[in-house]
Amino acid sequence: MSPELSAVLYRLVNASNFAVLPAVLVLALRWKRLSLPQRWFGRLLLAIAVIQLSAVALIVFFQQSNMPLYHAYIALEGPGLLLLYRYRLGNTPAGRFVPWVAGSYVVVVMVNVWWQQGVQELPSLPRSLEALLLCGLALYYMRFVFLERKVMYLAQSFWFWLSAALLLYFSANLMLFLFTNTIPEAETDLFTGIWAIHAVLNFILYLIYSVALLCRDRESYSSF
Amino acid sequence: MSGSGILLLFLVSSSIFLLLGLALVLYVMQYQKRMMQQGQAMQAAEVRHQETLLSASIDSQEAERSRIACTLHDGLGPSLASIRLRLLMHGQEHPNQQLFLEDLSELISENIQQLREISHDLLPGVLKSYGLQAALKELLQQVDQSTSTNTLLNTTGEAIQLSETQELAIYRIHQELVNNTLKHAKASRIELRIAWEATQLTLLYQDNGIGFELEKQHVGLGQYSMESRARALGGNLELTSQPGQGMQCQLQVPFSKSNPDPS
Repeated sequence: MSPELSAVLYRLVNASNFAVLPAVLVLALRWKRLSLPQRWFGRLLLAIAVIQLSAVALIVFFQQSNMPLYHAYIALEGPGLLLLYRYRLGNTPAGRFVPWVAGSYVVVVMVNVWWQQGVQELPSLPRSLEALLLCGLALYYMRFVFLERKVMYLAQSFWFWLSAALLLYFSANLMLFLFTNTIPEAETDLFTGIWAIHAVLNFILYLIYSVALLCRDRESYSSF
Repeated sequence: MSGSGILLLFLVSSSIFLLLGLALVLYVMQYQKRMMQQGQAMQAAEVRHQETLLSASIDSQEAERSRIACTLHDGLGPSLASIRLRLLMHGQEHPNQQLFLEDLSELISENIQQLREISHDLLPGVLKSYGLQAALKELLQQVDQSTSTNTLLNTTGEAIQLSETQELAIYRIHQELVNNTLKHAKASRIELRIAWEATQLTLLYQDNGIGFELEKQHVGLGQYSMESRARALGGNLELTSQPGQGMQCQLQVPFSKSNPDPS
């Protein structure tokens, strides 16, 4: 890889740390018009933004490893998104099953931190599991919406865009999550290349999250 | 495998998953849209079917009314008149029974009159002979003559001859409105404004009765029948009312002057 290309990819990776900010801006502008599940999603997004910016600050200002924050990040993101779907699935069997899955996932993350990969290692196993769970949930939602035949315009639906974002991001990232730890650390260019792919997917994720926040939520149950 | 080979593998696998996901998302959007369109088309077909059934039901109801009216008017009426005449003749021949027979004859006269009224309600002859406007005028005149409610008929524009079906439907709707006013509204005044416009006929019926809350009012057979008839005409019927402020009903029926019947 040429040094110029490597520098461009490195900048792309760095820029992706701030990809969440446009979505946060949309959240702030539309807060009053958002539904209850959208607001919970917004709070989750804010927490993610805080963790991501703290991770950047740790490296830039304190030259410390930000890997422990990554564990906290996945322990928050996966269960948060899983629990959010209870607003859409209501009291269906899947809706009742979701909290158990979320709880079990937190246990898996903790076990991984203390007894498996450790706090300084990239949590590839729980991250891959999270990708599988969220892809499964997104696919389940699409099947659910098919059978339900209640939503007239999917392209204007918050839940559809949220599911599309999860499906696209986590399916495309699955290989990266699974095999990143197997690459020798000396392969700097390879690492930069892989994280550049991840950075592009990050931009796609937060772009679709922004679209989801711009849509109205007509599908949610008001409580569960 | 070299570093660039591994990178290429990651790039290709991510792209494949991304494209597959994208294709799935687009497919779901398209499929859902098609299913919803199919659902809407089926719903529209069901509504059309219901309207056809409704129209057939109204037609058969009118045919039955017409048959009963003719039987009463042409069969039972003359028979009763003949019985009455014979009783009067019998009374002249037997003076000792004359008083009793005259009473009977009077009773039969009343029955003949009632029979004529029923027959007229079932099939208003004036509608067929002189058209809608004359029939509505006669309907209001009957109210004026037989009740304490005053009526006013106001017409603007040049009347045209509508089809028999249209005229009968409009007449029936107003018959129902008048019946409702007399039965429930305690009104002292009924007003009917008929406006013949270029492409539609607008009839505004109002009374000054006790009114009612439309939202709380149960949709009865009468209202359902009026709305059904208006729909069958391709028209629009709008009822408005407030407690203490009477009731208003606006019926709009579109027509073309060359072909008045929209059906």
